[in-house]
Parts: sequence; structure tokens; C-alpha cells
Amino acid sequence: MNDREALLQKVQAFSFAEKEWNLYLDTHPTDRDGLMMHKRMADKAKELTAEFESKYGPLNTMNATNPNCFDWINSPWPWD
Amino acid sequence: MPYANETKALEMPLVGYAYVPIQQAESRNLFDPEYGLKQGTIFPILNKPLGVYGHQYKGDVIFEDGGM
Repeated sequence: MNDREALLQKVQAFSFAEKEWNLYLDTHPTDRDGLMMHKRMADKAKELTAEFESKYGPLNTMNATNPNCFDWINSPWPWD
Repeated sequence: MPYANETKALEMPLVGYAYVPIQQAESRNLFDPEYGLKQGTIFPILNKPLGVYGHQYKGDVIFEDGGM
């Protein structure tokens, strides 16, 4: 697994963890620990996503903001 | 009842209604995100893979390492 894949896996893991806390908060909306953990996972996922995108290109078209080239088409597809 | 700490019985269940016990608040013993992604959850209490689901109710010991 190269660096790109390793970082992508971290992005996926923390995005998943954010969704887990999201589901938990659906039924425990005022749980202090849950709120704190959700924020921590969300912040980490955003941080890792920004790092990934700065190195390897956009993860979604919203973040394909290169004014000179739509580099969304240059980064490898998931199956590449 | 095995895993008694997992759930809190409903006081007044209505006949004809299905119930799913609410997950007890916990943020201590969690899977780390990467292991959780593989398992499908970060909450050990919800970690019921195939071959485990259903057996726990009969009190079978599933996880040797003391997991739920």
C-alpha cells in the first residue's frame, strides 16, 4: 500500500467514524461525550481530506478548484 | 441473561409493537476508526458479524477476548 492509499484509507476511516457518531447522536442528541467525539472525528476527517487533496487531487468535484485545469479527471479512478 | 448490561428492558411494551433496545451511552471502549471501518462499526456492542448474530442470545460465549 503506497502513501496515497494509506492516507486515503485514513480519510475513509475517520469519515466512517464521523458517520458512526452521527447515527449514535440521532438517538442520543444531547449526549455530551457523543457530541464531543462526533466533532473530533469530523474535524479529523476534514483535516485528512484537505491533506489528501493538497497532495493527490480532489476527492469530489466540489473541491476541484484548480482555475487552469479540471484536475478531477487527472487523479486516478478508484479502480485504477 | 447474558449481556444484561447491553440493554435496558422497556417498562411497558405494547403488544404488537416491535422494539429495538436503545444503545447504552458509551464512548469508552471503542474500536479505532480503521479497525472500525473493517468491522463495520466503531462500537463493540454493535459488532455482530455473521455467525455471531443470534448466538449471543442463547448465552454462547462468542469472543474469547471478553468482547461483547
